[in-house]
Amino acid sequence: MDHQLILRNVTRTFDAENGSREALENINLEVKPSEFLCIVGPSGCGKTTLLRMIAGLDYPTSGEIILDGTPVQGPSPDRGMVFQEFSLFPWRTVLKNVEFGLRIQGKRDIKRTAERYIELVGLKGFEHSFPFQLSGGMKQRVAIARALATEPAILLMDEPFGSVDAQTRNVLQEELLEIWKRTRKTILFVTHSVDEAVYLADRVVVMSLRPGRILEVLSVDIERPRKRTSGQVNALREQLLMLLGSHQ
Amino acid sequence: MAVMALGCLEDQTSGEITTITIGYQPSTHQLAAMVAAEQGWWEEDLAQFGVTEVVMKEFPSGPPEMHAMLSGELEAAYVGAAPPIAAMYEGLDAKIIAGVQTQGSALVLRPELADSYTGPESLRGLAIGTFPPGSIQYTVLSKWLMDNGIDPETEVDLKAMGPSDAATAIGAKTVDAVFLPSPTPTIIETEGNGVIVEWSGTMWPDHACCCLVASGDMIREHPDIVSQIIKTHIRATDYELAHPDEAAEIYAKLQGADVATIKRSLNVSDMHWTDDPHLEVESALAYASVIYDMDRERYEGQGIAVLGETEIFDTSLYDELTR
Amino acid sequence: MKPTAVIRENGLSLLPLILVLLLWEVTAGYLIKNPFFLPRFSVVIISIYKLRNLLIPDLLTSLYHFGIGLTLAFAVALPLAVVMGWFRPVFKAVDPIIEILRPIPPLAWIPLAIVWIGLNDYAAGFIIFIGAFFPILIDSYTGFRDVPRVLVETGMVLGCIGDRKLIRHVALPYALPAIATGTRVGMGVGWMCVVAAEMFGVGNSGLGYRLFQKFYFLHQMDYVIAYMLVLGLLALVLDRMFRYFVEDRLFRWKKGIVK
Repeated sequence: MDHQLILRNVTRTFDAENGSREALENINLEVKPSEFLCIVGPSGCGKTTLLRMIAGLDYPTSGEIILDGTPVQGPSPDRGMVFQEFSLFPWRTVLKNVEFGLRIQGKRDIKRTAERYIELVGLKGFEHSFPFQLSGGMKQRVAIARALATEPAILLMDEPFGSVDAQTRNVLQEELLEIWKRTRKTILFVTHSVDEAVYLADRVVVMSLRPGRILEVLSVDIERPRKRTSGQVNALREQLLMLLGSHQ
Repeated sequence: MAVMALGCLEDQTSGEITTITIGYQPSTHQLAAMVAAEQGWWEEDLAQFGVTEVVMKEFPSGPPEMHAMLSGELEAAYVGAAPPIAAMYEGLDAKIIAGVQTQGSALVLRPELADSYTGPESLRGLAIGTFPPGSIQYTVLSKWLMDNGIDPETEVDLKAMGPSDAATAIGAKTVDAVFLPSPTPTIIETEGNGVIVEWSGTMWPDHACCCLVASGDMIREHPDIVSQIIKTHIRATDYELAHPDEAAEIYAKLQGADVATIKRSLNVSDMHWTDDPHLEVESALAYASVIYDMDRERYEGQGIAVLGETEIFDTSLYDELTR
Repeated sequence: MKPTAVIRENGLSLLPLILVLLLWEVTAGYLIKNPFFLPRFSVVIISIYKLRNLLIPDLLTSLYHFGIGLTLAFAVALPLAVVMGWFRPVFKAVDPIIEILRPIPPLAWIPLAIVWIGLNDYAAGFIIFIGAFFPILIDSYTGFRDVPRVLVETGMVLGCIGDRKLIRHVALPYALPAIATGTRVGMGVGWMCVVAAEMFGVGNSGLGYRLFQKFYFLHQMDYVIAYMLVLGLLALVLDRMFRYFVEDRLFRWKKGIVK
């Protein structure tokens, strides 16, 4: 099977006051098409930096990032991204937010496409609402619709449910899985919640702190829909926690 | 606010007056004021009345000077005869007590325009810098234009400014002409920025120009001081008539001007120094009429009539001194 | 609305105003009794009526000067604000110059304006321009500078790439409320400069011109105060109109109000 996204020996060094700091060291990763991949690790391990580099918002100091055979050079709607919060354009309605990428690219049937994705995330009827009128969960749904509307090759998500309450979070996770089932998008999902990773992912990349390295990549061979409290889920959770705990 | 108003009047109504403030303008018309100040005569002559300080306050032109007098800032003022009359229509309590000079203002045109000057008709459509409304210059020029069939409000552009602003303006060509009291016209000519084409004496022969004004309170409460002020003024006027060169030097020194230019200005101007108020009555009454006409609706609406000689002048103290 | 309800609703705003006017009338008419020192309020109001033939052309001229100054200020300040707010090196280069010029009062520019431009309407417009320029510039570049990074990056990952596109589609809409506020403040300052702009006789009509070149020199204090009131009222009208038609509309998403 051909891999869609390949990271080869990716390193990111930052210049600090007392010399340079290696945030990420020798990251090697291969992502399959339509895969749901989670990246977990403690705060500061560089998982967000990694995601940003894939998005094109940051650049590796050395190494390559290749998507569908082409090296990544800067941001593009090919790699859609959902941020944790405050990413909706507050002066635009829901519809206009979702239309944004389509308009910039000058696509056709903009309104219809946007409406389709708004319905996909379950917000039909809210097309003309403004972000300030929406709850946190609804806003993230809009962000997802907006990122999907430009039909990217891969969807990057940086702790997208980190700012909503626990109940909403669970609901959003289930809805995301639904959307993923229907669109078959490749998703790279960064989180520091082990629970979330186990519930969502096909594979989980575990990262270590200082410098950021891939400790291990675990496969989650549990059938969906998964029970959050099942024995298999708990076992995997424990395994992950141990991995993370032992390298603090 | 009432207490403030009372406070303003305090100086004049109390028995003692220790400071006298005299207003004046930087013009050779009012050299008498400057001569007396420079020679120390004001303080010398007024000391006997308990006056310890005489302050000379300079103003660019008559209207702002009268505004200060209306506010109670001046006990006496050297000023053109028109501004106090305009101020009296608005309630100024003061009288003209002596003359200072007649005529002595000149119309200066930019050198390019001077060649084609044939008379008042040539001024149509021009921007002319002169003293503000209510001043002698504004009134004399307006009347002269009106007498020659030109509407000063619509057919020329009269711009109010002080003497140095006007000199700068004609030099920078932001106005086409200026009409100012001596010595500024001669200074402009010497600097090559203009040519004198008319003197005010040809526009309005023997027109009253500067006079000496005293506040009503001073005349009523301290007639002896007012009388002395007139006396000192006569002394200064006699001096400048007898010693024009020395007077010119005093002006040059106080105003930072070139002595030769000032002496020249005295030679070329049609100004006539005199301390006799009676010589100014006729034109003063004409001013009173012209000023009244310019705002007739306002004054009639307030039940004010044209001012007459007794309302404008109080020559009793002068007459006593010169009997 | 019932009359009693109207009074109760607006009473707190109107009552002090009415009291002040009554106080003025009584103090002027019965305590001070000096029409030069303090003309009566009733006399001033009648003067506004008496002056109506002068007032309308003067008002229009002042609005004309105001229009020239404000338009110029907006046309220069906005592009400068974009580059200063978006490109940090531009900001660092230009800011020192701005900060030196800003505290210079518009009045101080009058002699230069007369020499550079002449005694005409454009010189008056220039002084108003000086007044309005800095508030518009500073509020606007702050708006551009404060665009949240997450919005800019969102724009980029959605295909909005390049400074020009990002400024147009992300920064400008975000900064619009700030630009509106800056414009309103600039309008206020600019209007205050109208009198300064006109007092040196740069034209032969205008509220400031008439006040300083005629009423002042002829000591007509009731006319002076009448024109002062007109100046104040006009500023109020301009401000409220701008708020209603422009600013409130732009601020809806910021304040979270709909209609």
